[in-house]
Amino acid sequence: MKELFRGGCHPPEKKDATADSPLRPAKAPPFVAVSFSQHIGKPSSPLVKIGERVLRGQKIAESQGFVSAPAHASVSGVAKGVVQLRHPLGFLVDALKIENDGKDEWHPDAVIEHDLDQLAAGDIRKLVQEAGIVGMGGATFPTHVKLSPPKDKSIDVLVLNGAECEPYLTADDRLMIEHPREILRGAALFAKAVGASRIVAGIENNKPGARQAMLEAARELGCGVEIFPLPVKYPQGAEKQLIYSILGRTVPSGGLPMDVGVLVHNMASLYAGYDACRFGHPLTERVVTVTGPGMGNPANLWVRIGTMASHLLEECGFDAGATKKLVVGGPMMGMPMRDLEWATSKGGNGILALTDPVAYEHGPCIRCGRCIEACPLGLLPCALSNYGEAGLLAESIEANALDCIECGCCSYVCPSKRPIVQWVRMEKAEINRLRQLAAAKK
Amino acid sequence: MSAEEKILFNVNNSPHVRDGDSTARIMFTVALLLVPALVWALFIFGWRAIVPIVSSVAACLLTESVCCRWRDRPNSIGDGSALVTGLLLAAVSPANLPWWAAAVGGVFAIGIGKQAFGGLGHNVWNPALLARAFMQVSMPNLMMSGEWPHLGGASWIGNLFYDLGGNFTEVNERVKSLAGAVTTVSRSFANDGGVDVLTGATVLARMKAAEAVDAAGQIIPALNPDWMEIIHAWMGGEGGSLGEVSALMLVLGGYFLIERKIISWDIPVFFLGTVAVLGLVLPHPYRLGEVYAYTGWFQGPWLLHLGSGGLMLGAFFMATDMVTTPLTVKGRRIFAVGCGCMTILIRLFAGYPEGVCYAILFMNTCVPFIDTLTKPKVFGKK
Amino acid sequence: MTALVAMAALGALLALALAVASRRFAVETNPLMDRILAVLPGANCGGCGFPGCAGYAEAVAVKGADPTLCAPGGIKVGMAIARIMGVEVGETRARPVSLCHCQREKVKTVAIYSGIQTCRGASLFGLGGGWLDCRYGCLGYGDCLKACPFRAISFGPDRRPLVDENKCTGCKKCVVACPRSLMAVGPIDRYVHVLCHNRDKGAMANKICAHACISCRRCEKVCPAQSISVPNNLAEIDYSKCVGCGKCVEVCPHQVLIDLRRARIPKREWPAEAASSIPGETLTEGRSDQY
Repeated sequence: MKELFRGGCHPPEKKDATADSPLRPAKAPPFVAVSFSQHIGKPSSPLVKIGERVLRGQKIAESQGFVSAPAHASVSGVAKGVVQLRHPLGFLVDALKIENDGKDEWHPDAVIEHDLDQLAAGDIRKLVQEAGIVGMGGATFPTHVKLSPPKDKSIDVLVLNGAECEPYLTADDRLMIEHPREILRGAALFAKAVGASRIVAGIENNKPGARQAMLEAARELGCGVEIFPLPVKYPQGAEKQLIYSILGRTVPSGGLPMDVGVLVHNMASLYAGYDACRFGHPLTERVVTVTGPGMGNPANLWVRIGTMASHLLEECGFDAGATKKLVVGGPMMGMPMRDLEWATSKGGNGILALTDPVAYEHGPCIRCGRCIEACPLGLLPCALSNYGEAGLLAESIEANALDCIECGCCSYVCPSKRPIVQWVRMEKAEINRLRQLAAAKK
Repeated sequence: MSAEEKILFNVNNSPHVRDGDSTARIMFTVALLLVPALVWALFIFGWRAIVPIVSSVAACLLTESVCCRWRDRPNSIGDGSALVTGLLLAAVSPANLPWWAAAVGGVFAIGIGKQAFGGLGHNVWNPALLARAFMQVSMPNLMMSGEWPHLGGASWIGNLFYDLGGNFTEVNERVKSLAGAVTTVSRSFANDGGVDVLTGATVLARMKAAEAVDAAGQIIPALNPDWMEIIHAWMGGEGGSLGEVSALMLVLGGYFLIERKIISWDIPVFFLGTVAVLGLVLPHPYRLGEVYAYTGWFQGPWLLHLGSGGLMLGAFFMATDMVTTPLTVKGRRIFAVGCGCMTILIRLFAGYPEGVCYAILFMNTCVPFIDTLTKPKVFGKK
Repeated sequence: MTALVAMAALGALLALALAVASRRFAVETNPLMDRILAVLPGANCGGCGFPGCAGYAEAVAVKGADPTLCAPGGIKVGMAIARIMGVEVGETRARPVSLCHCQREKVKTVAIYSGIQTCRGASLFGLGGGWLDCRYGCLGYGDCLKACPFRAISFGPDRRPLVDENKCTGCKKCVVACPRSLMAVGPIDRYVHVLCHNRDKGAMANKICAHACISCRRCEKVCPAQSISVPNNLAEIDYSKCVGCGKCVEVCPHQVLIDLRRARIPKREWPAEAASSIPGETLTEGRSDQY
């Protein structure tokens, strides 16, 4: 096995609650609020009139520009109006509220089947773009952009990210166990789209069932996908660390995986890609792990995009009194939410109800060096935390603050409970803001 | 929506889970693992040895509280670092140190050695060692009292030796005669005239002086200890500070520190290893009449080196202090090797018999330099 | 004896060397710059736009910068520098002071934020507000307080900043420190202000805060000088037209507009220099659409 990546930490996995829960659809929500901005890039512009009846899979918002994605209705029903939803980062986004009539009628444009062997690379990209597929590991970068690398960057390896290194989450795990063939076919399509000759799936060793299922499916399909077992360590699923562990290639600082000829995709994105190309279904639902100590009935659910959290959590026995923190995503990098008035989106792969007390008085840096051992990028998080506390931006740039992937390992291991990664995020935000101001002045 | 009261969630930034360790747990565990060594010292030296321990801990805690109040900060004695400094300072003090001297040391250690630099995490030098150096310079007679262990209290050591086939009293007598410098014999009325306390030069002082007279009146180098003498030194038969007599207990404490992942094995192993290797390899000077002679190569008493002085204390508890040591593993190894070299250098060639304290202080000064040299490589950068 | 002689000789030799060096290697300084530096207050606040007082002195002496840019120095320093440079000063205006444009009162806490306890930390995280529902309002951790070099800001009611106008010099360090651009510097004789930055639609703003601007436009209609407009859900006063009559203040249903002469804010003693002036253009209204 190739060398492990440097650093990292081992938060307790806590996947037992849902590791053996098969996927099932969530209860049909009374209404959904499909946001126009569930991706990186320009928000899409609405197409539908208020009062109009829309069908499942109907395009309700058009993408603006290339780095953008369309949005589709995830249920059939009457479009009630445009509401403002809270995005985890604090700003408000517009969303279309659709009342669910329970019929779940697909739009005719959304069920066009294709013969996979007949699709060329360009067709695949177009289908993926029209389906509104974005990176479903949380990054929400429009997938068709990723599948269209510039001419000078040739991709030779497609890496399937089955690491799911965050504690609690088991969405990708169950997807791999129950739908490995769809994932592998999706991988073949994406590989065709970029011209990659090799496909490698990295699966962490804490998912033996998934690895077994993928191996059998790969043998059955005869598609030549290599399954690479990964040691369990956070953040194994981070792009750069995954590429280094599997292929030994180092993505240069400030660069992208395509600079070393690699493309990385999440399992859920691959499944959605297959669904879109084979059956013409746009992205209307995704797998979400709803779990945590504050959740009475944790489960892995197929959730319609735009389902309000209040409806979803009711089904899972959410204990609001015991819960101290409600997190979208994993516990290491997820976004905390202040109430239940938000809608699930294309990027959220987990909802956690955490009950541990989370207020920490932080002490001074005791120079123990654990953060340096834990940082996957070889930075000096203790120095960055001191610069952040003192507001020294120039020094933090020199200390490579902009290389930080914000994985949170440093904050996790710090015995003084210093909010290191929060300081680094503040520094990065400030640096980018000042750079933007300077660029605007020119 | 409903009439139920609004539940408030916490919206702090990620990560939302933390490792269970904390600064307080680290410090209190270190303090706990230091206690067996101090208890052993109490056993060896008698109950009077509690005085410098209590006095230095109290002085450290008090100084920390006062300084925090003065600096308008919340009181930080809860993080346990002042307690550890107090215990370490006691461990490097002799058993008969007066309470006021230990208190002065404690005030210096925390007030100047720690708070003047900005509190925990900002000091350059190990506060306990800084205070010891201060006391050594300003109160040398009190620090060099070199009290010998109470023979009566250590009788079970004697029985152990007997069981092992040796004779504690005989070895003790031999050692004393080699020392040739038994300066005080005080008698205690409670012990009906038996010897209560002996003071004399420690093994390191003897190695320095290196001159001895054997039974036949011949001058011999005092550097060929046999097994009995070595165990004698390790088990606290020799005099010294409270920490010096408990080499065995300190090794145990150090082992558990490593096992609980509070310190990593690098520093103790590299430090002790360097001392052992150099202590074995280098020629040791000794005085023959009026001139200095040197033993040959590969003849050094390395086991004696390891068991004497504050080496075990220094290797496991002082040189592993996180604040004053380099940040990276590579840096810490360089630091430990440097400490080992300096210790041997001072023990062999410098004016002091005991080298660990100054060796560590010297390497503490080099730490920022070592840190700059050993920065880790950033992923993806040339 | 030899020691004494040797030391004396050494001392004399070194003294001679120092004297020669101080002549030979003397640094040429601009005498004007030195005189200007002597009259500057030495706060090094940067409010003039130059790096510290030495930077400003150099700029005036060498590059001919405006001699009246020093806000902490005020009228006295402005006149003094002008006298040194031998120039006339132009027309005078009221001295600048800072003001926080948020009046949130009894706004409910919507979340617990215990991360980095600074306004900048809470505004970037904690869902763009920390404990506060309003995305534009004052967070109350006191970044402006900490930034003020003159200690002119203290915590007022509800932990909103209260500026002591006797100490405020208009250096604008608080303007830079506030992550929501709520602090703004204006002339001390400007009495009517819009103390809100909320740009949410009226209905939403109404739910969030009792003093939020709900863009009802009554102020716009009643203004005799047409100086108020309500672009983007927030009232704005064009001070080149405002006459300070205060009619808008009377009609505002949420008391968003206030007249500092009769404000609820504790009455201030106008200092004697309020009537006197600092010459030159140093004033900017700090409002921005960045939040």
